Amino acid sequence: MKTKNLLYVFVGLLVLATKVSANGSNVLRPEGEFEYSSPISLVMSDSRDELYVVNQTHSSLSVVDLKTSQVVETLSLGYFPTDAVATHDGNTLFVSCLYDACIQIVDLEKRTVVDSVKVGHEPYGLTLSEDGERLYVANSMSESVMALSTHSLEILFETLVGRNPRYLTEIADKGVLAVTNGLSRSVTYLDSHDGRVLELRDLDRASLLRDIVATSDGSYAIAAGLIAHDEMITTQIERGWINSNGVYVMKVGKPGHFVTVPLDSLINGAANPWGLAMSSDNQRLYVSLAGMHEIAYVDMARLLDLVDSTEPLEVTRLSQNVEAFDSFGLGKRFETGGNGPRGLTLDEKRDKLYVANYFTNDVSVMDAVSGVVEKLIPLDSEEREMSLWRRGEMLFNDARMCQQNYYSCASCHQEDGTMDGLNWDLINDGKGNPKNAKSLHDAMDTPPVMWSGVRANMFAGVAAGQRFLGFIPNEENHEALLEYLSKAPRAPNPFLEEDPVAIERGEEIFNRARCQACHIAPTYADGRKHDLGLRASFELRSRFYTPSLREVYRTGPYLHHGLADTLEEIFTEFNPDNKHGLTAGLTKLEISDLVAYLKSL
Amino acid sequence: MLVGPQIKSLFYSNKKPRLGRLIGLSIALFLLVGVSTALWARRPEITPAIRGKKVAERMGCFACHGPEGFGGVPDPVSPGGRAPGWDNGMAVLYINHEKEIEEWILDGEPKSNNAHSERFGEETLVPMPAYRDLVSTGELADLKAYFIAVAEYYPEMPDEAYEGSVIAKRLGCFGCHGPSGMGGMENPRSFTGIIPSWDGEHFEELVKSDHELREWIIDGEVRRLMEHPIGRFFINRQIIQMPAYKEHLSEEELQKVMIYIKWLRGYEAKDREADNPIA
Repeated sequence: MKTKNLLYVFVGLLVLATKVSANGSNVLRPEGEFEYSSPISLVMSDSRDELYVVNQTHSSLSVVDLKTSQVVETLSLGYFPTDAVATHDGNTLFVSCLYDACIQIVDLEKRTVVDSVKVGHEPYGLTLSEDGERLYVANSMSESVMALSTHSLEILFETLVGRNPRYLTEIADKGVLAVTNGLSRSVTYLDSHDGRVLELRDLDRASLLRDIVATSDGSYAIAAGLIAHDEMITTQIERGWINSNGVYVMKVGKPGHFVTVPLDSLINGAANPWGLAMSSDNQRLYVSLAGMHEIAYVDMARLLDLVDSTEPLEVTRLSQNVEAFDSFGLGKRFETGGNGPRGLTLDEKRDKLYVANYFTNDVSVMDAVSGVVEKLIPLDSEEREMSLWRRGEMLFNDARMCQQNYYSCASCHQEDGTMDGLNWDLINDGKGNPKNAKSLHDAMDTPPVMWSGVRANMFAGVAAGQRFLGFIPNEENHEALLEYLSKAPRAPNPFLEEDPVAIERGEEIFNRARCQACHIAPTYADGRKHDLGLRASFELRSRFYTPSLREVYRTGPYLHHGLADTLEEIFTEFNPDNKHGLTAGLTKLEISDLVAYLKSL
Repeated sequence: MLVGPQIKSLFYSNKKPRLGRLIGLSIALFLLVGVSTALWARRPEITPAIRGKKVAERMGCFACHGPEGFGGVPDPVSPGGRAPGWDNGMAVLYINHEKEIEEWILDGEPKSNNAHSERFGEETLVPMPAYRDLVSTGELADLKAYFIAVAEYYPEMPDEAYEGSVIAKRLGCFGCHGPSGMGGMENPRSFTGIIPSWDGEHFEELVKSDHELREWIIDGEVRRLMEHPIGRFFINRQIIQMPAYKEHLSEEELQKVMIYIKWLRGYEAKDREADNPIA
């Protein structure tokens, strides 16, 4: 009996070892990379004269005394905290922990984490209702918005919104919640009381939407994001004809209304707008430009004048006018003194702007009027030399090495090296056949790269990207970028444990349908090209290289043309002849099991 | 019939040979050579794939894999609800390397891929039989050639050639020239009675240059043969006439189809060995 038990233990360990080994590359980031603070969100407490800094990779909260501009305490938080919001009395802080799928509640008086509540997958942005009774959470991977009672922490509603919701804001007096959908080119408007979807406002060429704010009278909502010209062949980098950058100004009460205002200058793009802060008198708007390490200061009166005077037929023209920011005198841009500014907050009492610099691990203290950087508050406990991997991550997000600074690698592959969900015509495999941007996470392991396999490997891919997409070729940069991409940051898979029984059934279907003939573990690719009968008439080729299925839960839309919105659609809409696996005749339940398995990879 | 002494007497006899006899002999020889040449030229084309089709028929392959290996037949146990046909890109779901084609035929599953059953599980109502004791080496090679033609299993085919094959399929070329242009389709009153294959030897007689290949495709005929009285006679009387595609494909598409046909003609076993197995 004892021998038998030992045998079970041995087999158990063996299975565990196999699983660990199979998921060996599935790490969030290499060891040692968690020591950097990577501040991403800032919350100011007027009553306490304190600034709270959410440090994403260090999974901590720095408490900064604003009188001395010193970090006075650092609290440990859950895995990858991302956004925070304080109650109106300044006693409690809610923090979203991206990879722990929870909201942590911090008692600011005692400076301790007092409670935690589970929410959806990968909670991102947070906002409080005007009366402070409700906390709203954007669950970026569950693609939903949740409302929680701030007292009981009970979930009051959950509503599905667009793909990858990031930030949200409540529109004053309107009972409306506006949510930016990071991968859906839209903002969803919800009834903040019961969660009903009021409107899905399409923002045309919007891409990678980030922060959103509203004017205090609730008339306008403003979202920061890229202006992606994926409708164009990528032959012209200058003048922002691949990506430009700006804000989307929406009249809240006018369904469908928006005006896109670029923040770029003609030969100096404003890459990767991220955070927003608005003064309480609605006169000043601050936008962090994460790829340019700058803050765009926008004169709201002029911005709204421009928005109000723009006729519907002029909206597209304005969105393409990368001289608008300068020619209409909309504002100025200031350097933050750090690298990778994301979250920001305005201290109106002192007329200071605080900016979280993600890659230099500090907070800029800027004069809110002149833009002068008065101080940099370091957050790391000790000064460290930047590792090659970290440098690669920083360069990946840095538009200063791109011609005219309109975009960085992250402008199409997000800050984590995945994708923007758009179809781009990269001309390296002929003109006129746009294809869906691929996540770079598995590119190293699955050569050749790109759908048509036009680059032999990632080394050639990065080199070609630098040469042909306007990045300044540089051997050191190349090395750092490859180091970063070779150990790409993988999020813990939230679907891995969701429904083990369905996953097991799905695996059986995966094998029986012969998916594994081409999606061969552990990369779930085969390095070959296949014709699945999906070629559109305008396309130049019928065969495409098998993409990896790792992290497929977060890389939608699917197929080379990006027409399959969901994994289910691949089988229900795009595989009538069984060319993409023997899935004809599968029941709804079987497809659901298959998808559960795919999402677990 | 002339026998030895008589022939000898023609050359060594002191008698003056009779003129009539010589003429008769010459005519007989001429006719003999002419008829033999004509018969040789009009011999039906037999390629390995054409032979393979007959082997497949004899072995009962089409009972499960569908008529001529197309489409498969319904099988309530098989994933997808059908026993796999060989066409429609099914091959890549079952074969990881060309060697496995032989293993499927000989052993009923790819033995060299030990993980195969583990990876896919095997459930079919009629299990794939093992033909090891039933097919000769030659029959195996022919069967494989037919399978490759129907399955269009050319994993290493260059992109342009592949696109040519897609265009050829769209234009219906394989309807007459057989899967992957393997030939074998009957054409009454034509010179050989068979529509020529793209990779066989008759092709060489009909297509002497790239220019002629182009002429065949866009005009449906080639000037060299149409200006020849015998050529014109046979081409005009054949029941199935090669259509002119000039209105139905662009210059770029024409180039791709030509690249495809030329690639098929240069496709040798040695190229296939270079195919790198993955699993």
